[in-house]
Amino acid sequence: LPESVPPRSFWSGTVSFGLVSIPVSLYSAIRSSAGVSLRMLGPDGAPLRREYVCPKHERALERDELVRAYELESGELVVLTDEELEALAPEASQDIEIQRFVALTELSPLLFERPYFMLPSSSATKPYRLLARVLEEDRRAGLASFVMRGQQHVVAVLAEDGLLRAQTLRFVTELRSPARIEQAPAEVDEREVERLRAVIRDHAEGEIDRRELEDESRARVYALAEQKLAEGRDVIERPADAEDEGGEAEIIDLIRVIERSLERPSPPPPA
Amino acid sequence: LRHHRIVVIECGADPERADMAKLRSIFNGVLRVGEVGVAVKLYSAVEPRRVSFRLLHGSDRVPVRQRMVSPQTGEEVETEQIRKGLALPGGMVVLRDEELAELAPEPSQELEVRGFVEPGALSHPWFARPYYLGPGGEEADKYSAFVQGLRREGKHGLVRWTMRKKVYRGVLLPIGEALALISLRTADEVVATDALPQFAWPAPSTQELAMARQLIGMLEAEPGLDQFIDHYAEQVAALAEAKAAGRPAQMPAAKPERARPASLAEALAASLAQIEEQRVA
Repeated sequence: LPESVPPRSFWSGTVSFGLVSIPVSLYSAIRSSAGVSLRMLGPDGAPLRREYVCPKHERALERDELVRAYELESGELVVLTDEELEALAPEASQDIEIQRFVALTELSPLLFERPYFMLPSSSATKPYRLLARVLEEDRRAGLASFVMRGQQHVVAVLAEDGLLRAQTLRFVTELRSPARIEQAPAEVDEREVERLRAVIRDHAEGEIDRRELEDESRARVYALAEQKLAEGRDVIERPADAEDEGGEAEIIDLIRVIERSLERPSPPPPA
Repeated sequence: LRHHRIVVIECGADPERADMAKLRSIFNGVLRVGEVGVAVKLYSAVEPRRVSFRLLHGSDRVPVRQRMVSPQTGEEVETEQIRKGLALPGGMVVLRDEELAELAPEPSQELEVRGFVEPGALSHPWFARPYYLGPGGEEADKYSAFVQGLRREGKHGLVRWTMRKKVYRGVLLPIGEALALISLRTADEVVATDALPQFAWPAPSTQELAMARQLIGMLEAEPGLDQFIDHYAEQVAALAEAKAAGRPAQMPAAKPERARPASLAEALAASLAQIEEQRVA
């Protein structure tokens, strides 16, 4: 196994506000190696490979033989190319144009979808650092809409630890109204409220114990596997040529990527 | 491989239709704080409506199917014969279905509050998926009292529960007269950046900082998130309809390239001037 594969950026373009435009790339802020990814093995223990097959020709297809199709209500399949999809929102696919700035506290966490690191992709990092600093100090976020991998996103651009981050948000129409769940009586028994407030105060914590957020299910699966490995039970001698074909073995050290993109020397200040 | 995955496009729900239909709960349980239990029903807070693409064989337009093959023989391996393995640095270990079943968490009706913390104790990367908790069983009064209590204390709860053979953690908060429960990612998933080294970057000049603040202040507005509408899904559907009917698709024109000011200070100054101009006009 290679120690690490260079993480790929999900999107490259610019983030802009006013006439200031900053070249950036987005990287997932979530480790894809987290959780448990089990490999599919054959009866002989060899890792299997996933193939796409045309049922008519009964043969495996190469990547460039595949096309993407949209199904109409009539059931008809219409092929759409990447170029056609990108052309639907041409400017949104290259530029995250911040349309307005808001206080961070105005963004409901119900809307948060996926976090990305937004890293500078040019050695001129001055505008990047300026935007990161102001957003972090003033606890503000910029809102924009853009297209990434065939999907339109609403995104909040914010800053933490000196880095810009892009947090994709759900469209408001994707959220269901809480008025649609079973409703509780509006009248409350004040004595009961006070009693429950006391219970809540009794269970108040200064901060969240990080151990609460550990994935102990994963730890249990790994512990079992380690034990079986030590005992030599169900261990597969891997043939040398059966290297990881799937993308699951991707080991990404994002921190290293961040360091690399920030370490790039910035040009000397103008005299 | 990610390239081949079926791409999913989000599609906005019809708000009028959505408002009429009551939601169906996906889990019934008891929210427990120490000795106190409140019967609750859990609902997804997100519309499942999504538009997807299908993968076809380009030359004959036939939808493809997936299969698992042995890299040695090239032969397909049937589902029943597939074994599951976990790759460790020391080797690949087979895990049997019965072993995995034994490790699965015990089913439970309890949503256990592990503690109450200040809102904002967790930052945005932790939040995964929102749910609502509504009253369950006969104790709707107690539910209302709990919502009020949580609101008045101004706290959020950290909750742990088991659903679909999986352990979840979530943040509990009042929303209107109801409760929202937002599931959290695990510590393995979220990349921490607080340990990053300090880079010896020259600080922006006072003038640049002041201009950036002024520009951001001018662009400050209400979130107005309902103004971001996913027209893209409609556009994809319209494009597909047009292609099927043999009509040329109407494509929006690309935005003309803007002239880029030479320096950061010039860009900030030009942006401020432009906004001033728009205000006067």
